[in-house]
Amino acid sequence: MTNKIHDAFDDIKADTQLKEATKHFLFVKRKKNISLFHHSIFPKILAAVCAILFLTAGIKGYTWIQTPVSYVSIDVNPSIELALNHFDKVLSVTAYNTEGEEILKGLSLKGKKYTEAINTIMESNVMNSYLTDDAELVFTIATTSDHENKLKKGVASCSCHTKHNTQSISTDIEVVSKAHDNGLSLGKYYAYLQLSQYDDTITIDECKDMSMSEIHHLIYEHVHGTKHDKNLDNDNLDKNCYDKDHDSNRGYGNECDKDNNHHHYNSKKHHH
Amino acid sequence: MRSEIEVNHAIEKYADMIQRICFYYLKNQSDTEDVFQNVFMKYMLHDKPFDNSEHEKAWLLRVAINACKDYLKSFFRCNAVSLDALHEIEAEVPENHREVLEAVLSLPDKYKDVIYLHYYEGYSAAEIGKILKKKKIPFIPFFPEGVKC
Repeated sequence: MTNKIHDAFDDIKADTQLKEATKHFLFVKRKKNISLFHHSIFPKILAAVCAILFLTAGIKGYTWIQTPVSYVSIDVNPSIELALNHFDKVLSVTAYNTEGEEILKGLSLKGKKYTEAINTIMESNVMNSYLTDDAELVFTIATTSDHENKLKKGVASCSCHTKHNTQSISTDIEVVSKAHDNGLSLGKYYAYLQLSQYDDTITIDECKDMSMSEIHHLIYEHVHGTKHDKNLDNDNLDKNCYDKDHDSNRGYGNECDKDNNHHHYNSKKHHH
Repeated sequence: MRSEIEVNHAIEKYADMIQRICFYYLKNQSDTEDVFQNVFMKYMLHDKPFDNSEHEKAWLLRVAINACKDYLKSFFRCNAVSLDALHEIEAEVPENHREVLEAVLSLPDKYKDVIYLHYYEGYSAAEIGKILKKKKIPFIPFFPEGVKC
């Protein structure tokens, strides 16, 4: 019985025509499937590309916002520097000496508008203890030329600006990296550069420990060719030996022409 | 998707087996062709690898049997004119085998799986249970290994 069933079934075979027709049928199906696959993968690729573009734009946008483009240095003896983004918001605050660190203790300035940050710093009790009658408060601004006026006006509008012996200086953004390389705030480094025009022996380390009024006093002495007793002559010292605008000093560096600076100190004096 | 070479190889290797199952269940040459092609299309689209050729054969058997049963249940098949399968292959089947085939084809549907898988393919009751994924298979008096899996 078993053999008979087996033999009977054994006679049934697929003919070549059916096999070939099936192969052709599957060949066509395969081609359709592949093209369907390609069609279906295209939107996926497009979506992936869009996602990458959005991600890249997001990262670039974030980087753009987080890139410091302007610096405002606040120097008395404490040296503090604000790094600002395109929207003039504070990205970072750096103290360049222990006095500066003391002031920044407990202050939260990141993300604030620079004018608000300056006012907060100036209103702190620790800072006020440094703002004595003979102290000099110097704001040094480094930014792009098209943004300079805006920042200067902003700094000038701060309440502290009228209360103390205050100066505002603008300088090139390139000076910032040189200042940081030497471990100084922008303002103090700029003052050092001014002083070094007259005194080759002065070092950065010496300037680090000096207050702004002390540096300015030395500059004044060199400009006038006289030695002044700081304590005696402080009232007579022209505290604003720096030009408020300092436009003539754009591109200023160590190699700056001494004569020009000499002229600059004598001819552009302003009081606040 | 399986490669063209792989599929063509399977067609050459299993075409007769699938043809027998289709013929056995459908008894109609034109229906056989449809199901035959569908079985190999499923094979082409089945991405999972087989453990060995036995696994592959068992998979094809189950797919072919299920495809035939599904086809029989379909609307188009129910309304189609049924032809006598034996008349279609009369020239190919010898006289003495024709009687056996007639007898086997006339068996109730519930025995068909077991008859074919055991008497032609030589599977045991346990193996048939695995292929068909059934715990019980129908009792057949002359089935040598019993019916329980």
